[in-house]
Amino acid sequence: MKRAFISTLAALALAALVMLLVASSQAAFQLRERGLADYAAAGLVQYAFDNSGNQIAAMSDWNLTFAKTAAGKANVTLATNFPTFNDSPRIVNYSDYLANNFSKGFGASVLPDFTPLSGGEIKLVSNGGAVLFVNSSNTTGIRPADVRDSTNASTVAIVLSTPRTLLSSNPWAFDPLGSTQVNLTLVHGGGTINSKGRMDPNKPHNYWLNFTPGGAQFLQVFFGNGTAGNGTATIRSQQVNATAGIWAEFPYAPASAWHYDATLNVTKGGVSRVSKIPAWDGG
Amino acid sequence: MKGFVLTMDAVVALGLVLAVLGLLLPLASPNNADALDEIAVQRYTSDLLAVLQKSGRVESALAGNESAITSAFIYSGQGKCFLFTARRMPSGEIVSALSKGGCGSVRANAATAVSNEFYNGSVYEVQLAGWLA
Repeated sequence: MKRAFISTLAALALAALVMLLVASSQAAFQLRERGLADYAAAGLVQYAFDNSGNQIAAMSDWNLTFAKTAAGKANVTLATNFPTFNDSPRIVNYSDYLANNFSKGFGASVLPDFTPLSGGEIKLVSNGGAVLFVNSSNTTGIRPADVRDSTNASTVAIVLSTPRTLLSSNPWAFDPLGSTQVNLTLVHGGGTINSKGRMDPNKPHNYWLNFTPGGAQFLQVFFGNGTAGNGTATIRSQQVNATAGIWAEFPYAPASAWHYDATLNVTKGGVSRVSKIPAWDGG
Repeated sequence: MKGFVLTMDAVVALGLVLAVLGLLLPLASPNNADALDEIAVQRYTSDLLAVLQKSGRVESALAGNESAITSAFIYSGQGKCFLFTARRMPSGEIVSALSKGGCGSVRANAATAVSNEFYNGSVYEVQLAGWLA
């Protein structure tokens, strides 16, 4: 009788163990499904960020390229046309679309903050603080994030092209011991100007290119210590139709990633991300 | 002898309990294989939409070259079905609806991937529905 009792207890214990195993395997399966679902959501959220950056680029009246060089530098090229176009209204509309229609279709909470791009200036910021910009006041260029900073660009090359014929110019002066190589090329209706040399990024340098008597229509190229900070490079057009390209080389570490000055907050399933919208991840 | 009978009785009872559990558990819990299939289709659909966008095929379709999308469907292999839809926003007007040949209408459990494309001054919402044939 005693043996039977023990056997029955053993059988019941075995049954309880089997049920425990089955229950735990179900929990493990559900956990795995949840993990896979979150993995899929993470990819979708990442893509939402990447795609938003691509669409802002498509809406912007500029062309951007980024490259990492074998010498361990980061190269950035920005090209735009004068007169510049005010891209802010359509970027603000895009922000509204993301927050309303897109978030519903995407099945996620999408909260964009594009306020820094709404004032007529489209900006990209590097992880080192350098800012690339084009504004609706016909000015484009590179400046530090803060007036106390420097862009730290080691080389800046500016190429301007216009069908107009240059009337006169006031060239800038170089600093033979300056730390930045600055190259300027102007292709105009009457020929080409090349100006190359070293400059001190802590001093202001202006190159004025006049297309009418009295200076009513001109291109102004600036490099140096402006109101924005050291190493600022800007091109401004005053009623001159032109194409402007600016190329700059930075140390890789502080310029290995660039993002639009706009924030996206996306939550899908168990995945949430709040960050600036990436333009280049440095790869 | 009596103990042996009782033990056999307990073992038979255990067998019955396990058999009932085996029948009831699949009904009580979601089918993991189906769930994994759904995740795989969702992933494939999202990846395909990303490829269509990054390769410029969505832009081509919005420009009127619809074969840019349908030709990509052909390379997705047998057994996978897709419907691509593009809507001009904010009106929601459908400007393109392209499906893979031989797939019929969209299944109720189809996976969907949604993105957007700026083209020629307008924002378009693009959606790809994917399901197993």
